Amino acid sequence: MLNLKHNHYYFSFLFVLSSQIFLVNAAYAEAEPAHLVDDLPDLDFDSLMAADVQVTSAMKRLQNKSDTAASIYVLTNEEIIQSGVTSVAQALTLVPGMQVRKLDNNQWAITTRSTAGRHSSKLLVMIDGQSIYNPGFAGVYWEAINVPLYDIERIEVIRGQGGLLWGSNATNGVVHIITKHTADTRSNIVQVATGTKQDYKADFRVGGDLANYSSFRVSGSVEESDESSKSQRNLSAHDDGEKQSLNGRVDFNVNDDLTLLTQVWYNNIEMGQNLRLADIDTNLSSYVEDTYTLDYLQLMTRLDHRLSTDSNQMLQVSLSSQKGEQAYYRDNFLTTDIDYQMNTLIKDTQFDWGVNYRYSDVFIDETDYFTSLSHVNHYEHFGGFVQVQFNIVPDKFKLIIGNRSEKNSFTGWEHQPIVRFLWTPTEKHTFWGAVSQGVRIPSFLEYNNIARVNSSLGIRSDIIGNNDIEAEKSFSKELGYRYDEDKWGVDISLFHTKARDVLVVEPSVNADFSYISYNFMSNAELTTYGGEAVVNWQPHHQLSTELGYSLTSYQYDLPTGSVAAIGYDSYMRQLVAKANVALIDNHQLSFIYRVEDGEAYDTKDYAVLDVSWRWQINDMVSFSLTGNNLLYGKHVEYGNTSEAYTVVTFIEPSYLAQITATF
Amino acid sequence: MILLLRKLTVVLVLLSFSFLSEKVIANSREDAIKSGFIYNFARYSHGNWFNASQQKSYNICSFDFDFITTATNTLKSLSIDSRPVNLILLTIDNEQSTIINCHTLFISKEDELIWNTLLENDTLPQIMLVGEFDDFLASGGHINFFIISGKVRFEVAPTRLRESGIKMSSKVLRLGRIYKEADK
Repeated sequence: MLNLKHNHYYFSFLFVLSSQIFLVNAAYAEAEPAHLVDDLPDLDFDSLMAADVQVTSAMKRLQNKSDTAASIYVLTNEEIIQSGVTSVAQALTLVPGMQVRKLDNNQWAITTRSTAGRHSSKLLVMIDGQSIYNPGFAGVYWEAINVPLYDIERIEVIRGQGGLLWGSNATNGVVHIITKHTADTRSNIVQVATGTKQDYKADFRVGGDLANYSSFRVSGSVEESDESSKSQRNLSAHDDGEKQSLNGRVDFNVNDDLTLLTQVWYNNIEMGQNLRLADIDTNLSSYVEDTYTLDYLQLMTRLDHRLSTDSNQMLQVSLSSQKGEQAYYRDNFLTTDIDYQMNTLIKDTQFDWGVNYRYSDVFIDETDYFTSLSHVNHYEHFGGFVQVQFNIVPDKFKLIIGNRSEKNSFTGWEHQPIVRFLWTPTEKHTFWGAVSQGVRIPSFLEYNNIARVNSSLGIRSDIIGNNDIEAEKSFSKELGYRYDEDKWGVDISLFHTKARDVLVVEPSVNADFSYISYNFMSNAELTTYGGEAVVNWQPHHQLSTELGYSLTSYQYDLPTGSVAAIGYDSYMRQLVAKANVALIDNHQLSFIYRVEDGEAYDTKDYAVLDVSWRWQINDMVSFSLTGNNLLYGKHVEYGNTSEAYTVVTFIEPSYLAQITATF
Repeated sequence: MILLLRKLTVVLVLLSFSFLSEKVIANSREDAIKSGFIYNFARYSHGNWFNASQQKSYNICSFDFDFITTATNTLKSLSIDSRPVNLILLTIDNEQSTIINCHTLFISKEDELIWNTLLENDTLPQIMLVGEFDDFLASGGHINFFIISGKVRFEVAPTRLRESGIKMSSKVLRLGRIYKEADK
């Protein structure tokens, strides 16, 4: 249990600090630097609608790409819709450098600059600033993210440690799904889809105005997916599923400077999966068909307040409840998050700070496969961050220094300092660099649970959590360069990360060979390095293209007798080629060609093509036809047999037809 | 836990006081975004309020010095129907003679009193009227800006625009809120 008796002093101090900063800022409010106007986006309607009236931003958002010292990629709503993807997870295949592997017709393993796992992630995923993760394994159930794609404003992706200040466990990167303001979704939508892997999917949205420029929307969906034809083993694929969701959001506009956002997400999932479990009697592998259910409720409310022309603050309170049931694992979580953030510009220096608190009630049922080690049933952490952005040579050179410090129930205080620079010698050239330390806090399972796994020897085997486990610390160095012309651009990032106290498993056999324990330890080192390069080119106003290449090398330095817990020594290479063509009479074509190479997932290299044709029939109705995983045929995208329980299916070509009516 | 929540409640209540401050005046960035919108309103409209064949420039006017300064920088080198965009600062002294050359008139919230005077004098020519304060549309304006969640949005009175000889594209109308005169 954390000692929190001095917390009120901590928060009081920060409150007084915020007041002082506001007063200081008010005194400087008239001294507005000229460059704030110069970095406006294009003057087309979409850019103007997306532009913030302040350069400071209360939410955890990027300001603009050219002004960010990190490896970033922004997926726009337009690209998401044109590409014909049907989920957030699938949309991430559009991002060069993202490792997106499909396990079966429903489940995904996603990360960047690392090996993705079903139950391992060092990726911070947020919807509108609210972290969505399962505190049990500190990862994400991607299939439970059921945000209507037409309501997404954009998805911001940071590869690497550039988003450390936004939250914990962001050492591989950040995915931030930003939904549209309800003022921009006041129309009604009905959408239905069907295809070879999708029995049906029906979505609706109702949006409208409220008094005083306030607005609302309600949306929902039902879907039923079909089973794949082939599993990795000689099993029926058993990966069909059903999902229902209901979402609502209201944006209350108190005045031009004060808004209150309230939103709720509810998802219910029931889907099939195959599992590799230990036979209770023989301890040998037993493949079973399972139906996995998940109820997922999220509530969030946020006050955004513009204090002055150059200062704003944000207070966000959110609740997240998950109740999941699988053959080997039943969990029930309730997580409360409170975040306060303030962003201020004092002359040419931007000052951002914030405090946060999280409390999770965790109930993991004892089953034949999962038992508690030390009966811990809650987790909390609190802390804050400070970042100062010095505009050392106006419009030319910025230095950004920041730190996030948090105390968590498992490993105590952890610190994540970061130093970055951004050098813009001319308008078109940008160089950036960063040195940072990131922290991955152990998950609940790594800390507190005993998980029974199968053994080829028929001996009882358990993975044992460890109360003395350390947080993994990653020291990362990054360099980047961007070049922007009207019709083309280049974006290159290089990184080298060395992590210590990395999670490993140390097997141990008892004296009479009747019991094997795989003990979690945190005493390995891991070196990753690589880079991403993206070239975009628009040779004609009706044709836009993009080519992305990424390379990641993953090298462990393991203590004698231990094995890596997440991934293994490997490399990954990826090539992504995209093209969007606007044809005559409101017809559009989208092509995405992806080549995945490397041994990180113990699969064959593969290359797939996704093609989507979209026809805007009239102002109200559009039709799209999408083919996914074309050219290559059935293939396995994830073959990590060391990941307990997971059994994957073959990913097959699929086709989907969708009609959307907006009125 | 209860103790901590109590402390947090106190802090949140204290913070809530800081959320109740006076309205913030527009900054240059906000003016620049609004000038971009005004430029697009003209681009995506047609009608007899602006006849490019008879005009040397498209004139955007305002009594707000700061807005004109920012908009001049933001809209430099831009044109509408092949006519360069020209920014004109109006003053009380030159208003009568100059306003007849304007194609768009932007009334900032600081100039609400001037707007009332213009209405009383009934001297406004056929012109696109854009404002940024409560009751601007109710008092006869065409397009009104407001801020929600730190972004600029607008409401439009399409009937009144049409009465002034301006037909705005349906694409633009869909982006804004439609002001219904019957509601007021």
